[in-house]
Amino acid sequence: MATQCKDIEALLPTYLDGELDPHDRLSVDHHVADCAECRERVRAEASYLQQVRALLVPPAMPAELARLDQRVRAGLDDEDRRAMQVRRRTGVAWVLPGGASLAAAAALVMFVVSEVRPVPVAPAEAPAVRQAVRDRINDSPVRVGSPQEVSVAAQQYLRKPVRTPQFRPQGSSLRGWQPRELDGRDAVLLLYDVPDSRGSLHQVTVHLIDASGLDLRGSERWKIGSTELWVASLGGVSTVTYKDQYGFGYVFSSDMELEELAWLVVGTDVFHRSRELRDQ
Amino acid sequence: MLQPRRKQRRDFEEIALPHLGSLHGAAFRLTRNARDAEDLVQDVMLRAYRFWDSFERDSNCKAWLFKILTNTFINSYQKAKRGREVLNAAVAEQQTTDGVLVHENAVSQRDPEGLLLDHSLSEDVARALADIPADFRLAVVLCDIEGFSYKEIAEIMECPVGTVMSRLHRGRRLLKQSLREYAIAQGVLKEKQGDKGASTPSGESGDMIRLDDYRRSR
Repeated sequence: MATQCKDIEALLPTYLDGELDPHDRLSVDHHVADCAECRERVRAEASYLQQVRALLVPPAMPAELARLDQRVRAGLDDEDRRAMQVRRRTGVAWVLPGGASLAAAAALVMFVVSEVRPVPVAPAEAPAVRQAVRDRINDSPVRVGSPQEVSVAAQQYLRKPVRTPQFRPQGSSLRGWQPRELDGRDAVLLLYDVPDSRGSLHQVTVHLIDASGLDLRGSERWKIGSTELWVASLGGVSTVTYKDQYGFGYVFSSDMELEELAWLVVGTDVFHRSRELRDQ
Repeated sequence: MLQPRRKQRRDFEEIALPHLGSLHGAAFRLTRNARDAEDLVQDVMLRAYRFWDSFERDSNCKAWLFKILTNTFINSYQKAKRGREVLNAAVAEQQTTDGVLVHENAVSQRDPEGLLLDHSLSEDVARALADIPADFRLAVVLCDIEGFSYKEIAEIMECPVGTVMSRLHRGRRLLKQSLREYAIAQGVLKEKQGDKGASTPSGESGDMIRLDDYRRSR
């Protein structure tokens, strides 16, 4: 049956969406070819649809999207962490302490079972780590600046390309930096405020140091995939150290729980980048 | 031991996360509120991550995510408004099958392009979209913003293709009607227009847009 003017109204939206079956489509095409009024109607309606679609395109919201991206990734971290705890509860370790000591294993189990803070005390900490912990409580003032300014200053001081780590949780901020020395090497201390998973702020210090050949014996080694973290707890201060693919070292220390700090480190941008490169 | 979880995370970041922008935009159009849109998409992504195992790797990830978005939107974000929505939907259904239909068709025949002469109307379009019932709005967002096919929308909304078509077409019709009402309310569009020398490209007896008036009203 040939398509007539009165049919066009019903077929038009589907026709314009390109969803008519070939038979109906052809019959609309035929009718429109013969009928100037319907041709105009199709043209006008197509043009309207095109314009309305353009107007419906959501506005670009880069800032909101960036914030959302961070939020989602932090949410994924939480999911991973939860999954890890569930696995640990069921006896499958997710994070494997490299040379797993019994004390550490016990501490990890305690962490799950109760709120007791795990204190895996390694016998003799590497001097760099010990100094980093001591450095936390030094009272020389920090030099303040934006993350960019701090990066530039640290770079000049260390004479190496430097990335200041960014922490994932919202509300994290870089407060400033100090030039320091660690185990006889130039180092830059960065001071951050970072909220833990319950939202209370902790000071986190990060020592940036050329770590090629740096002695980290004494700290415990955790493996996350192909990446290694050296972790230690000293006098109530947790430290996590890792070397990036260039042999650059980051020593994180904080009074938050070791586990919590390790997750913060794993969530930083520098860790991700280095892990991705390594995995390729 | 660690591998499966890590691989899962990496897959998810590679395959699902790139759709964050689309989801966010669509959510913004659905909720019309940046805060709600963010919360909605956050929910969707975490849900998707939890059910990542059930996603078939060679199927369409965007459609899968939008299905979760649709369900989450309908279930949690619409509940509060449900009562009003049902009423609106009932009225809308009736309007599209009543004499109003004739009226709307009359609108569409006259000068549909004339409703949209200026880009500052985009806020009006967003508002008009927000006013139509959720199911209709979803169909419009999925088709006209995201470009899903009828069949994909049917899978996302878990309904027959025929239902998609009726929701989509009614949704668009309601949208057009709202736009027309805004235009009239702002004095852009006259219901009945004499000849004052204003120019509409398609001319004839259609509704006249007086752009100067329109701009002044802003």
